[in-house]
Amino acid sequence: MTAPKQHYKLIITIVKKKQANKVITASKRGGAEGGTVLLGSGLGIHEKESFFGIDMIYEKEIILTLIPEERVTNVLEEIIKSAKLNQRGKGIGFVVDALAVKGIVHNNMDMALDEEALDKMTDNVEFELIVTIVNKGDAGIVVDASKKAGAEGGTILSGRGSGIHEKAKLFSMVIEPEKEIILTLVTRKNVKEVLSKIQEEASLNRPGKGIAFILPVEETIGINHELKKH
Amino acid sequence: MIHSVFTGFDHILLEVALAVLPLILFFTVFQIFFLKLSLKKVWKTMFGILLTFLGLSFFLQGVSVGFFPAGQAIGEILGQNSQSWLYLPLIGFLFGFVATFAEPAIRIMNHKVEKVTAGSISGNVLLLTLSIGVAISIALSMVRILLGIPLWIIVIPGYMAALLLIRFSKKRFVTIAFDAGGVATGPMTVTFIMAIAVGVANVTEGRDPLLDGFGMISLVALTPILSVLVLGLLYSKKEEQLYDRSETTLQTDHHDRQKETSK
Repeated sequence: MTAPKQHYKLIITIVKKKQANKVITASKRGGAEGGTVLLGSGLGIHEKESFFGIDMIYEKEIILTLIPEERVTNVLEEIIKSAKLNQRGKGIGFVVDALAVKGIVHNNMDMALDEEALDKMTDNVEFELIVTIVNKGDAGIVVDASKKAGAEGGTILSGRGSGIHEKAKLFSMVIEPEKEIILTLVTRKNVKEVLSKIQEEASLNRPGKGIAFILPVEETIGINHELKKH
Repeated sequence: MIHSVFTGFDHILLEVALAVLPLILFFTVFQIFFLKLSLKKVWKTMFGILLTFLGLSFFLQGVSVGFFPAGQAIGEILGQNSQSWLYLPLIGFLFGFVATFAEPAIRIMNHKVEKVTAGSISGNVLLLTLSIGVAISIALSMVRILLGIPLWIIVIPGYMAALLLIRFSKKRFVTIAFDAGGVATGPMTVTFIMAIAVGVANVTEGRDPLLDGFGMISLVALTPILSVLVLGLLYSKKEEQLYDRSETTLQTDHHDRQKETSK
């Protein structure tokens, strides 16, 4: 069966700590299948910068939600409603285009690299960002796999989250297993190879193992050795 | 009134200064030779240490004029009643729960656990688990004082159960559990609850406050280990349901990574 060609979008929401679960339930109501939460800290425009000379840092939660394009408005509406993002000081969110998605196995929506979308971008862009989300402990496999296929490194973040295969509850509270998020910046000619290598070695084609997607990159700084080649 | 509240405060100040001074010393040495933080950061650190110093001093003073005598008095009144065995364990349970809930050291540990696990192990769940653990230990101690059960009858099987549970609990929870044992015996629990226990032992016939009152701290150190390990057991049970059992090949730890990939 040929999978329907579908576009995925990544919604990134940043809210105050303890609000993430609200956002995830809301986005599930809107049609999302899961979500990944990272802890962070930061400062909004309405928050005080210091207190008695001590810098204040506010704890935040960052939620990554990957959803098909046609459900974006639905999910966004639900998130805005539950996290009250239309009020000031509650948090922010934004939507990023995902070029290719691997690892969504359960409904045959796994889609190949969108060549058209890649071609549409300007020619002087050399890189794409592969984001892989796997279960805790598997990040090493992903990094090794991507290096084998020609990537030059990788950055690992830790987070928690649940996919569609994970719905355990313990005394009415949701158990969200620990996850590792790997960011890999790869040159465009290596993208396909690295992505399929990650898929293969981390068994993303099996349910519950994780997902990977590509985010477009417009410009890079700090990759000096690549520049010298030109 | 104010005067009597601050009796012995000079003593406490000296004590806290002795406790904080080595830290400042270490910080100074590291600052000069290794850290070399900016002046702004040093100032902030110093301000934080000053707050700690003041906070600790006031807390300890409060304990010595407030918590300790109050706890002991409560313990004595509770112990004097002839029907005390009816409600003492229950009251112990309640006090244990509340004191642990307020324990600052536990709050800090929970915060750290939440940070390290990216919120996967929620701080509130851990707080509740520890509170229940300590509550049970206090109830047990009350029973122990009332019936005169020797300490080892509870402690030895307790630790054996803990060692056994390690085999079945997740690694992450094992480390948290054994830290929790130490953290739970913090300033709140020790000062308030121990005062009550000593008070009860004081007035209960044939009980030595030294022998029977003090043993409870060892129980307070034990039961959180057990309760966190049980929580870990529940977690791993649930997580097992999440993943298909036949597909455990990727469920390896970082340590096994070399093996996995060099094949």
